[in-house]
Amino acid sequence: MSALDKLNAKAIKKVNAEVKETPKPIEEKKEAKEADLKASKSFTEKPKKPEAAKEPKKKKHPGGRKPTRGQNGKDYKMMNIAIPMEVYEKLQAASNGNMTYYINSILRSSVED
Amino acid sequence: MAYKIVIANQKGGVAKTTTAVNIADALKYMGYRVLLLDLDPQCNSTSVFVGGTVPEDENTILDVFLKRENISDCIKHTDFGDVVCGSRELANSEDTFMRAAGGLKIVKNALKEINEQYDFIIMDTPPNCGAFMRNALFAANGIITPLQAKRFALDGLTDFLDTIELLKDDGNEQLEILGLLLTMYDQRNKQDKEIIAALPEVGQKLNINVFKTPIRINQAIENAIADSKSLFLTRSTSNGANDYADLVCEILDIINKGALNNECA
Repeated sequence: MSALDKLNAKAIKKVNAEVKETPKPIEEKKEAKEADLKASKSFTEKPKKPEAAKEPKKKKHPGGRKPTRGQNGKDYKMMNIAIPMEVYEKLQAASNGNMTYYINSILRSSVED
Repeated sequence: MAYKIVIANQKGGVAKTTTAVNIADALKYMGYRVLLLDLDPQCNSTSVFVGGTVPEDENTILDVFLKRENISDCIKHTDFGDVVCGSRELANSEDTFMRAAGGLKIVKNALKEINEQYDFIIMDTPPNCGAFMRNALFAANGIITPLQAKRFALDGLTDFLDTIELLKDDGNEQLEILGLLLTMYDQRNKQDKEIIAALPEVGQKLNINVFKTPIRINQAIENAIADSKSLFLTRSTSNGANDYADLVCEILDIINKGALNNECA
């Protein structure tokens, strides 16, 4: 315990003693109690909102990003190159979620062929 | 109502000023209203509080003694705390007050004015049993007697205690010895160890409390005094700060216990 802690501990005791020496008047205490009671009642009486069953939000677009609309009116997925949305969706379904690996494997097999 | 503590021993070089300054500082840190009264013509505690010498136009304790000025006009508010500055000229006028009628009640009467303004009034005294020491003892509630942990520490202590008894008989019945305080204690020194071991027995024989906390010899105390800075704010982890903190806690316990006993009686 440091010197300041020791002095602070004693100083706090002094403050506590002073607080004890000046008790609140009884009426004030009653009022405070009633107010506390009211506050606690109003808190418990509040009707609880029924919890709606949470549904997972649906993603509007596969890949999470809004597709870019081309001049021809078709939607494109902007990757390293612009892929038509129909192709992108097909690729995603076929790749089973790992599109990069799927495309790479196609490319590799085509090179090997 | 202020509790007045006098730091007194007729021997010099026992850390009276250091003790007075650090007790005042610790009590101030704890939130008490504290005034230091420098009755020592050497004015060392004044120079710590003021951070140098007192300006010539400043009211000092000499004005209280000679001109009977109101003591509230002599209080100087410094960063360190409130102080009634000492004066080197006190030394020349000591005999006058010893002989004058009512000369030993000057401080007591002066302090009545500021009794409610402070929680503690700490009085630093000169190393002799002259007029200023007697004035302080006459006004005080409690005495702390610092003793250096050296061979001649206890010499003259009984004479000093006789003086206190005389003052009690003269009218200051409330005066109590808070305790003997061992200062400049070097725990590596064999002689110091012997003295600290023997001191409780001496206390028992003389029926005086001996503070459990000795003040260890510590450079931080000297440095804080030399810089006119608070030991507790600038060197709070030092042994000196710890020892004085323990001492002040012990003093407060003794005073509170005394107050309780008085209430019970």
